[in-house]
Amino acid sequence: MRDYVLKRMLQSLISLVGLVILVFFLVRLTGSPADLYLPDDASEAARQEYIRIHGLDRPMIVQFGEFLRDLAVLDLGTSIRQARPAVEIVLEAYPTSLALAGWTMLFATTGAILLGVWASVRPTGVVDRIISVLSLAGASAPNFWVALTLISIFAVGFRLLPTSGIGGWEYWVLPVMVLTLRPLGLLAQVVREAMIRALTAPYVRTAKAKGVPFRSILYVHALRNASLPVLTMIGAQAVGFINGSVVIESIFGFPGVGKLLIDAIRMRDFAVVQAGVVITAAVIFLMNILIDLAYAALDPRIRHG
Amino acid sequence: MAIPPAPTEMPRPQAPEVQAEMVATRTRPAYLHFLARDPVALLAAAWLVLLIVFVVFGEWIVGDAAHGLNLRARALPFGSTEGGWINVLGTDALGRSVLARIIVGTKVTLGIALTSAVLALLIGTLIGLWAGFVGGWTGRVIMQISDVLQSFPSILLAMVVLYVLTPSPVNLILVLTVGQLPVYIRVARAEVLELRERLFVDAARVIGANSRQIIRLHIAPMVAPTVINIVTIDFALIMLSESSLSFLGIGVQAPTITWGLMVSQGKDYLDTAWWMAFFPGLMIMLTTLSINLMANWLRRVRDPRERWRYERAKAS
Repeated sequence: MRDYVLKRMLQSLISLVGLVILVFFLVRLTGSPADLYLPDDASEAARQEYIRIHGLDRPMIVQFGEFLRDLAVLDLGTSIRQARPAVEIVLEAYPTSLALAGWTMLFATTGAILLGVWASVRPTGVVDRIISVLSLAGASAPNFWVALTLISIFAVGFRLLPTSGIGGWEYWVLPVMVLTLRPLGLLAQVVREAMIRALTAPYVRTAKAKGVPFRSILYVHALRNASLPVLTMIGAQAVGFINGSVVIESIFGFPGVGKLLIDAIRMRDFAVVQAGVVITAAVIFLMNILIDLAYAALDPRIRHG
Repeated sequence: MAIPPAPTEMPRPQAPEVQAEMVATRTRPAYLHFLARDPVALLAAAWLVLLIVFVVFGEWIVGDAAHGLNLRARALPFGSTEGGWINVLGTDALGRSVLARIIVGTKVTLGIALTSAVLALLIGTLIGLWAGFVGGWTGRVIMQISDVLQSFPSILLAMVVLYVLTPSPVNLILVLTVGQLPVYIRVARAEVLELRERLFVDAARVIGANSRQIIRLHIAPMVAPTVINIVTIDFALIMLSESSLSFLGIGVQAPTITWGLMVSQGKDYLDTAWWMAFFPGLMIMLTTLSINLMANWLRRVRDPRERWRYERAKAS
């Protein structure tokens, strides 16, 4: 088990390095910040000076060397737009995004378990068919469109909720609702499949024969065994979640990492893009380890194998 | 039918893949028969057929209404009959029929997604086959690269790349294809790793087939059903990615029409003209839903166990 986790960690670490290299060079190909931050009529000398101050005049490979040297002491550079450490900016945005992710996953997982278990009680029954189509619809809906539709109903139409920004709980309702939809739909399908398989297993028949109430067979015996594929799916959704939050945070003007990164790419704020990518990759890396550990906690075969 | 007695030195149990093949041919499902009995899948199939009609005849039927400006018919509301049935879903800020633009936009929307899906399937599977069959450090490097691609949110990578390359349908296809490659590489490789140890591969090698022949004639046909199963679901996913990128303004650019771009153009009129963004988005959802429903249905029909369960439920 420990060897397995260590091997996975090493592999993810190599991926992380590859990613950092890729992003470093790609983001520099998008163009020079000087074109964006200096006025159009800036003199050529001013332009050169600006590029020199921000260390963008040297060969890219030299810049990369310096980047690696600074990275070793966890210095990810200075934001060209806000003139303060990029790490600070990214870490400020993180709590918002993590809270958004936390609420979303809480609602998605709880809802998916309830719906999936309900559907699995009678496969191909009426309830199952309705839940299946609904969960597929949830997974198929483009989230930016759901966001716009909900905004026009609840914010523009009924004036119940704010259209965008951040503040009290009412600012969180729509973004969390939109982001929950897709993972909810995907997870409900996985829960259903896994539960159907688990409910035909011999231990369920044993439990029935012993006279265990059906409710505890469902939620104790079968669900625990069905939770492994669900966990895999949650892990796989982590990266997809960031994809979603990039779009949703932009629409709702939510000051999270997704919006920060998209703005940084647009504004050629290289240091912030790099810092965001490195920290995001590290978060995904940590999450994968947590999921591996959760596997071990749930499955005695892994723990003792 | 008479079976000639097996010579004693021949191994008794047949190779499993031969058995599997016999079973598969014996119970090949009657697709149309099953489709007719499943109303949800039938509806999904009908929707996709309608879209094909849009792709083929769309420009020809409503091309003028989709491109021609008509400032007097600006922002006609949903349900409007002013200017004919074509404006029933309302008009946009320049007076162009939303319905007509949706119909004409079908071609590019589906075209980009379909091209990317097929390219990702072909290229990814080839790389995966190769990585699995050759193995060694080349295989490991390929897997590591696909790991890098997979470990990062595709939208952000696509954004950076599209800023470098300037947004256009071709670059969009490129980005979407590369983003989906890892899935196929991973699956194809995993299948090959298992298949190349099987008896029929050894047998082919013994009778003198080279690596390319073994991959092409013996392994690829076995991998095909799995990756084709994946591409049906992947197609819907690519459509969603494309529409997200077009929505963010870094995908397809006007005057080309795609549904994602239409939602993006309509979002500024949310409080006055909701229909501009609503209907194109609804099209995206109904289409991805139909594709997903068809993919599920296909899997169900192909899987004898599921089919049996389904038949039994119908009978009871």
